[in-house]
Amino acid sequence: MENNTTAIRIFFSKTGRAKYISALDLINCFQRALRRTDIPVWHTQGFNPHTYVNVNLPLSLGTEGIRESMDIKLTTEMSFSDVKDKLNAVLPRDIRVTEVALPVKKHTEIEKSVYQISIKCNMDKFKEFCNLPAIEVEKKTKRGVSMVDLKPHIKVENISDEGFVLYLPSGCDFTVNPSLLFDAYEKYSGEEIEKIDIVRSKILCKDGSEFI
Amino acid sequence: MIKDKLDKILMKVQKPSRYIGGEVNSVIKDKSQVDIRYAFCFPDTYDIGMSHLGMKILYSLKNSKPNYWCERVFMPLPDMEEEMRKNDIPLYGLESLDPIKDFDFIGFTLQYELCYTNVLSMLDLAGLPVYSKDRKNLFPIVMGGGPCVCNAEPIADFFDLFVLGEGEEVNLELMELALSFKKNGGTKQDFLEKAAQIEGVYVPSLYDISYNDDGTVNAITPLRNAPAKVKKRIISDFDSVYSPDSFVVPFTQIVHDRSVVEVLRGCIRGCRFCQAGFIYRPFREKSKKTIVEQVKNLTESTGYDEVSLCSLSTSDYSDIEGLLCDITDYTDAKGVNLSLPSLRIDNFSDEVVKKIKSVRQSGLTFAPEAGSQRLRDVINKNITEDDIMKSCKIAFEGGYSSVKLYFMLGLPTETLDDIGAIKILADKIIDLYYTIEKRSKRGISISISLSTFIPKPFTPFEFEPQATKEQIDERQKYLLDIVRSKGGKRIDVSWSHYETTILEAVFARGDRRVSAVIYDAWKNGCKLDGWNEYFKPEIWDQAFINTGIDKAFYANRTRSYDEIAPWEHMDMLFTKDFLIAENKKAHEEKTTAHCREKCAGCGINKCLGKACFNYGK
Repeated sequence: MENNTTAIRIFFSKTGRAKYISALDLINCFQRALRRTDIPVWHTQGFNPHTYVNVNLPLSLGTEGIRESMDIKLTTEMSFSDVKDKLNAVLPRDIRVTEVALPVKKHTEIEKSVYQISIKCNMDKFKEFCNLPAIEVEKKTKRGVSMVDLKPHIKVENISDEGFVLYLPSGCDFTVNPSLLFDAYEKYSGEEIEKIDIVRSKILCKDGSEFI
Repeated sequence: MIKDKLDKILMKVQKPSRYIGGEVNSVIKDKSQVDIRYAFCFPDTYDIGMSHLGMKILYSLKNSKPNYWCERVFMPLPDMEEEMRKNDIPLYGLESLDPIKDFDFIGFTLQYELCYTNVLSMLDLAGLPVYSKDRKNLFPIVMGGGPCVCNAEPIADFFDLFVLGEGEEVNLELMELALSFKKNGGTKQDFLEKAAQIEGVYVPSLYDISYNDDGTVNAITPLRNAPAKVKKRIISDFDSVYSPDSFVVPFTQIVHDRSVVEVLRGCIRGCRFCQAGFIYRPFREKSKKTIVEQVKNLTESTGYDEVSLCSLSTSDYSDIEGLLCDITDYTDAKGVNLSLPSLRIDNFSDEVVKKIKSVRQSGLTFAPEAGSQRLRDVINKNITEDDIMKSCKIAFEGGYSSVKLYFMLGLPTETLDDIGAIKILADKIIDLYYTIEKRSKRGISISISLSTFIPKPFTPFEFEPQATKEQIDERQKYLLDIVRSKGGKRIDVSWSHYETTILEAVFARGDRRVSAVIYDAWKNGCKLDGWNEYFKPEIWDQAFINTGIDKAFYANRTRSYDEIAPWEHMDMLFTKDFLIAENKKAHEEKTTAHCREKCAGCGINKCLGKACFNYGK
């Protein structure tokens, strides 16, 4: 790879108004933020050089995240706390860098996302839905639309009147967007979910450890 | 809370980040520390409005005062408007997400006539009556600015006041006046009468308009001490005019997604069809130092990797080569792309052409406007065939193989010979291409874009009729036939729709009675008229029938020099006699030299207190 560059991982939160920034626009947003600083970032070489940033796992539009991450490469040394402070000075208010570190895991090791769900709906009905033997949904992929049974892929924990914790597959091999599940619930129950907040709190690797 | 309601609907609409604010450099203030709140409304979508330089300037200027807070507001697209109405969300400012009906000012920038129904939609969506007379409270004050104010009569009934000319100073003066009314009290009527005394402020309710039997204006009578003529405001010390150090950087891609630096105002060319070329007079430039400084500041505060220079004619900057060298010294080092829309390259040295990357990247575009030299003389478009050929040669040698040409149909004195000359010009460019040894391997392609000429107020053609639909159809067909009969494969022709052009023509030179049509069409569902997919010609036609307004009276009639124009009480600081003289010269096929070469005597120099240019040199 490139000589004398250091890959670093930027952990950040994307909450509030920033949840409406699409995954693609978020990359643009970080590239512009980096150009507003003097952080010595590596640019892709070639005819049209641009600031290199790599998103480890895109976050769906409308979803908040408190431990998202993005990798960049430094061409000369800069302390991690400087990188953090400089970025926080120029990022939009609702995107905050929480930590800068050396990458430990590869993004190909990612397997699951953990979401904190706050929801206002008929919880008894929702529990009934979760206990169905199969939850068949239409899933759009690059190859077209196919039917998938979500049931073996989801795990629901700590269910209460306010919400629950939801585990869904994420990563290079297979991803389930939380909205698939809630659309399926609305279809099943005939109920329109009154209010829902989805926050991705953690990303897990194949070995069960947190993605860091 | 609007935020909670928005969270419920935003995932249902296209590109939701347009409706939620929170962008970098957007200004958030503590409400309790703010005296005056201003909703800056752009009556078109976010993607278009956020590209507009004037809005960025006035937004930053107002927010530079600690006790004033200016927020941005745009026209929602139909999917969003529907959700807003369904969920009782009134139009809100993107910064605070507070309803704008509670603000002190609601200011619209009026950039083109087809946005008028959007103004009504936005007022209505805000929860306000659209007619000024039905808004009894002092606040919010609904005001308008921008080029359309030079004849705001068709929308006069909807606004409390207008600002004529450059807004940088007068906006702040109005806000100060509002502040004093907040402290000392007073009615809306008191406020408007005081405001009318500020230079550049037009309060339409303080003017009585009477009409002749033939429908023309009989008299415009000022009431309650309002000035007989409203004088346009200009910034005389243009180099030190307020210019923002930062732009709000949108999350989603917009039309012009880059920094923009204004290099000059006004235009020396005097093309007789061009309203901008007259109403933005006098010609003033910023110094090289100021421009380069602003390029740097904006690049650093936005993180954009592209910067563009903005003006009516950047090639007319007095030291354009020097300016481009100074800017590229900075942008090349920073890896920032400099783009120069509509720059003439025929007079540049090869070195400079090489330096301007975008000149090589973007397409080659010319606006000869008319096909024959005769007709170009009539409209005073000072571009010759030689200029076009010279630029084409440079471009073809640099590997270009496509050329875009803009023309207008329906220009005064136009004949079919002038239309035929469009094809002849295209053929000459094709022939030139095949004489160039270093040309690209591709075949040449020429695209001809035809728009319809619209006579505008404050131009020498304000007296002229717009060509009728039949005339335009005939001329289009004539051109298409000759293009298709010979060599048609290399030439592509496109044109604009007459239905929107005639609306623009009616609004451009309409009087106060025209507001009835706008109201009727809007009431029956017209909005976003500038968008082909939303434009509803049949509702407009019905509105003209319902209100008894005759399009032809406003659009297709020749107006005599001594007719009182609906905009006669606006003073753009140059004389009507000058426009009449220019109109006569047009009919004599005589050109007028550009202002730097020789003063044409329009009268604008009086406001500067000196000649616009130093002719002694």
